[in-house]
Amino acid sequence: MASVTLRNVTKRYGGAVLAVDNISLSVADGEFLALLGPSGCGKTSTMRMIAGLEDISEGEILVDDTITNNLSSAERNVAMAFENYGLYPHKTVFGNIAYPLVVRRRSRRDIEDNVLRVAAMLHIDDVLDRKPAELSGGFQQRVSLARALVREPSVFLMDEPISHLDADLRSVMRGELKRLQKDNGATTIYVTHDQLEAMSMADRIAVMDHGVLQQVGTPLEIFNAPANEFVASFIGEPPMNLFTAHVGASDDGRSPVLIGEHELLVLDDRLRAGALADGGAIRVGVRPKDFVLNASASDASMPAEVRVAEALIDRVLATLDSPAGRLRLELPAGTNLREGERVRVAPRADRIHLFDPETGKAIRLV
Amino acid sequence: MKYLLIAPPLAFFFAISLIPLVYTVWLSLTSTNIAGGGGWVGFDNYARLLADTFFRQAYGNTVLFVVIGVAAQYVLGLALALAVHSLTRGQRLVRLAILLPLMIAPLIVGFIWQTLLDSRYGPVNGLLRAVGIDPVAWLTDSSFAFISILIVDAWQWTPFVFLVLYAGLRTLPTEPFEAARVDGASGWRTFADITFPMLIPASIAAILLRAIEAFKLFDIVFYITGGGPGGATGTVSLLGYFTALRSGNMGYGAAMTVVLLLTVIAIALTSLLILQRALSRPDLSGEQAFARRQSRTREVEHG
Amino acid sequence: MSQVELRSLTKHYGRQPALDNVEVSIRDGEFFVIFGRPGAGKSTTLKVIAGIEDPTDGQVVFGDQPMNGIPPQRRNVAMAFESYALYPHISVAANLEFPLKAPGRSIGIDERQRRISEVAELLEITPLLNRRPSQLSGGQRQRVSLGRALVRSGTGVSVTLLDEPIAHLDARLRHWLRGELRHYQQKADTTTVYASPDYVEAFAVADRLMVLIDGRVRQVGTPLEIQTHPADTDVAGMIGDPKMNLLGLDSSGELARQARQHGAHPAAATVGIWPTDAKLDRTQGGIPGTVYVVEPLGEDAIVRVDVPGGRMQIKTSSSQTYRPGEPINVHPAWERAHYFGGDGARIGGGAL
Repeated sequence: MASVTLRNVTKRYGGAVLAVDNISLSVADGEFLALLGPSGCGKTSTMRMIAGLEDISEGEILVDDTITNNLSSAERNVAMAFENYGLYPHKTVFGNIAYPLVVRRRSRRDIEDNVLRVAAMLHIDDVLDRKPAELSGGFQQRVSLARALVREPSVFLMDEPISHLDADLRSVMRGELKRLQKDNGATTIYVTHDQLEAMSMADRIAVMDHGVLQQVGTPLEIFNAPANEFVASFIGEPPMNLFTAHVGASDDGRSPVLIGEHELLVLDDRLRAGALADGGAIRVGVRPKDFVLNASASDASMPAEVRVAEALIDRVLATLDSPAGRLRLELPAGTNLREGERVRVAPRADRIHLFDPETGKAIRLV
Repeated sequence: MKYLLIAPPLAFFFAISLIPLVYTVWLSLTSTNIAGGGGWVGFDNYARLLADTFFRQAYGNTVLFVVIGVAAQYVLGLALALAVHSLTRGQRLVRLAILLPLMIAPLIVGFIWQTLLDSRYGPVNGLLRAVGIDPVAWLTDSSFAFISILIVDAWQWTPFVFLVLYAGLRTLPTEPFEAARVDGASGWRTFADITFPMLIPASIAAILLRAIEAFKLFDIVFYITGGGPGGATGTVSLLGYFTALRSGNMGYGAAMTVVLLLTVIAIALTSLLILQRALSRPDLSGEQAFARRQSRTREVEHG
Repeated sequence: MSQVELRSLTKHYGRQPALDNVEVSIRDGEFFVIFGRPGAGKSTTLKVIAGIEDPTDGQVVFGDQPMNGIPPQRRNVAMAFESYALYPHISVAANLEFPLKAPGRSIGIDERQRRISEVAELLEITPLLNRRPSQLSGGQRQRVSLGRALVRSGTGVSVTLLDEPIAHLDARLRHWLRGELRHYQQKADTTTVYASPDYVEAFAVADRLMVLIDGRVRQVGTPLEIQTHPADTDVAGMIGDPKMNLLGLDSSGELARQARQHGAHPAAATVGIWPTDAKLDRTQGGIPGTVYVVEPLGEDAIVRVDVPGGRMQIKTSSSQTYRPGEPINVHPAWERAHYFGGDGARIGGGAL
C-alpha cells in the first residue's frame, strides 16, 4: 500500500475550461478519502488524473515518493472501480476478475487461487461462469471490485461505484465496502456526489466545488465546522437552513445578531471580524435539528407559523414560515404540530454557524 | 381488428416480393425461351447446370470473389475504422473522404476503373512505366483481370465495411477500455482481448451483408471485363443475365438465379446462427472452463 | 374531486402478473401513497387509474362512475410521469399551458398565466419558462413534469397522479418540495395518488398508504398504523430509515431466551426492532454482538452490529466511538419490539 500526494494539480480541457484548479491534497497510507461534490465539480477529473486516464495540465501527483505524471495507468499500479462497473461484457465473471493477472502473465495456478480468493470474499463465487449481462447491478459492482482487489494495488480508486444501485442495496454496500477497506487496509480514494456515502464511509472527506478544494477533514469536522456556506449547505440531511440576519449595535462589548427585531444570538465583540460592522449583514446557518421549539420566552427566538408537519416514527419533520424565511426543522418523535399553528423557534446558540456574506467563509466563534 | 391493419402492407409484400420469386422458381422448371415457347421440364435445367462447365466456372469465380474479396474488405475496413476512431481531430472529414466511393453508381465506378486500368493509356500503367516496371495487362490477362475486379470491388465496398465497424466502435462503452488501461493491458492486447471480441456482432453483420451483396456481383464485372477474358471473371449473375436475356433461354437462366438464391440463403442462415451463438453462449477458454467446473463442484457439495 | 375505487384490479403483461387483485378505496381529497420497491406495480396502478393501461380484470371507479373503457382524456386526471414525458418541441411555459388548453377546459388566458406562474414559483422554475426541455437538467425536467400535473389542480380534476415526482431532485429540493406538495395538495383539496419507493417521502406526506409487494396489496393504513402495526415481515422490512431490524429467533439461542423473558409471544419466529430502539454498551447483559462497521452521519451514527439472528443497524449518537470487530452488548427496548410468526405475519408487540 502507498500514500498519494497531489501538489498544485490543475486540469484544463481544451486550454480554456478549468476543471480542477490548483488542488493540493495528501492521502495517507491505508486511508479512506472521499472526494465529494456536485456533478461537474472536478472530483472525477481529479480521480482520473490519479488513475492516469487523464493528463495532468499542471502540478504533480505522487504515489509514495514517485512522481507519476509520466507513468502509464498500468505502471502506477492503481486499481479502479467504475461508475458503470466497466466490466468486459464478452468475458465471464472469472475472465473479468482474472484479466489484470492474465495480462501480467501470472501462472495459471496463481490466477485461479487469487480469483477464487477474492470471489469468495465478495460472495460472487457462485456466478464465476456467468457473463456480466446476466447479473444484477449489485453483483456487477462486486465483480468490478473483485477485479480491482485481485491485483493488490498500491491505491484503490472508486468512481461512484454504488450510485446506480437501489437504495436498500446501496445501504448494505456502504457498510460492506467500508468494512472491506478497514480489513484490507488499502489506500482508497472514493468519488461521490452523495454526502451520505462520504460521511458514513470515509476517514476524511475532501469537498470540491467548481474545481476548487473547499475543505478537507474528518466527517465530523466537516459536519460540525463547515469552512464555508457551500460546504455547510452540501453536508447534512435534511440540508442546513441558511438565511441573512444583521448585526446590531454593540452594547457593553457584546452585539446581538438579529432577524428584524428578533434577537437570535449575542456575539462577544472580541470575536467580531472586521467585516461585521454594526447593522451589517451576516449569513446564519442552522441545521434542522438545532432548533428548539417553544423554548422559554427568552429573547433569542422568533415567531413562526407551521406550514407543513410530517410525522415519522422516530422524528417529526416540519416546514415553518418565519421572519428568517421558510425553515425546515427536524424535531423529536411525538412533537405535536398542527398546520397553521403559531410557535416560537430558537436556534441552539452553541450550534449556530455564521458566514461572511461577501466571501461565504465561516466566522468561527471559538 | 389488429390483423386488418397489417393486411395492406402484407398484400404489398406479396405483390412485389413473393410473386416474382414464385414466378422465377416456376420458370426454372420450364424450358421457356424469350420468344414465348417451351414447356414443363421438371428438374432438367438443374441437372444440366451440374454438367455445364461455363456455369461451374462462373460459380467458382463467384465463390472466390466472395471469399477473397470480403475477407480483404473486412481487414481493410477494420484497419480503417480503428485508425479513424483513434484520430483526435478531423474524424468527420476523413470519414467523409473514405465514404465517397460508396456514393458513386457502380457503372460509373466501372467506367472510372476501366479508364484507370487501360493497358495502353491508363494512368496506372503510366505510373508503373514511370518507375520502370513493365505495364500489366490489367483487363485482358485472365489472372490480372480477376485481381482487377477484386481491387475495384474492394475500392467501392470497403467503405461500407468501414462504416459498419466504425459505427460499431463508436457505440462501444468507454469504461471497459479504461478498465483495460488500468488493468495494464498493452495496445495489442486491448485490441485482441477487448476491442475485437466486443466488435464481433458488428463484424458478423458487415461480413454477412457484404457476402450477400458480393454473391450478386454483376455491374462492375459487366462494365469492366464483361466476364472475360474467356469467362475468367464471369459470375453467376452475369451468366444468368446472358443466358436468359441475351440468349433468350429464360428457363435455364432462372435456374441459375435460383441456385444463387439458395446459396445466399444458406450463407445468411448459417451466419445468423453463428451470430446468435456468439451473443448468447459464454466462450469457454481454459480459465472459464475451469470456473464452470468449480461452480459445478460447489453445487454438488452444497446441493 | 372524487373518490377512486380499485375493485379486484388485475393486470398481466403476457403471463407476468403486474397487479394481482388490487382492492382499495381512495377517499375524496386524500393524499394517498402507493409504497413499494421498484417493480412492485406502482406505476402500473397509476397508469390503470389514468386509463393509459387497460386492466386485465377488475374495475376502476371514480365516484360512482365505472371508468373501464373510458379513454384517458375523458377521465379528467392529471399525471406526472416518472420519465417526465415532456413535449420536446415547445417551451417549458407551453408545456405547462398545454393541459389547460385541452378541448372542453374553458380556462381564460389570464387564469392560465396565473396558474403557470404560481406553479413555476412553487417549483422554482420561473427562470426556465422560455427554455425547451432539451436545455434542462434531469431535475429541472422532473419539476416541469410535476408542474404540468399540478397546474390543473382545482380545475375540476378528478384525481392527480404523481409517479415518483421528486425522485431525481437534489437533497435540498427534495426536502422542500415534499413539504410543499403536501401543503399545495391540502390547499387545493384534490385527491392525489402518489407512488414512491422512499420510506421518508411516503410516510411523511401520506394521509394513508398502501404497501404493494409483487403486485399485491399487503397493507393499507395511516403512516402511524403501518409503522406501529406492520402486517408482516415483508412490510416491516421496508420501513424505517434505516430499515427496521428483523432478527430470526432461533429457539435455543440467547436472543430468543431474552425475548421470551421480556414477554415475546411464544410462537414468535422473528423480532423487529427499530434502529432507534436499541442501546449499545460494553457492560454485561443484553444481546452479545460484534461491531461490523460504524457510519457517522453528523450528530447520529449508524452502528452495524452482528448479533445471533442477523446484522442490526442501530442509530446512536456519533459522540460514542466503536471499532469494527469490537465485542458489544445490545439492549433492545423490548417493550417496543414487534413479533412475527413463522409465516411472517404479525403476532404482537409494537406498543409506542
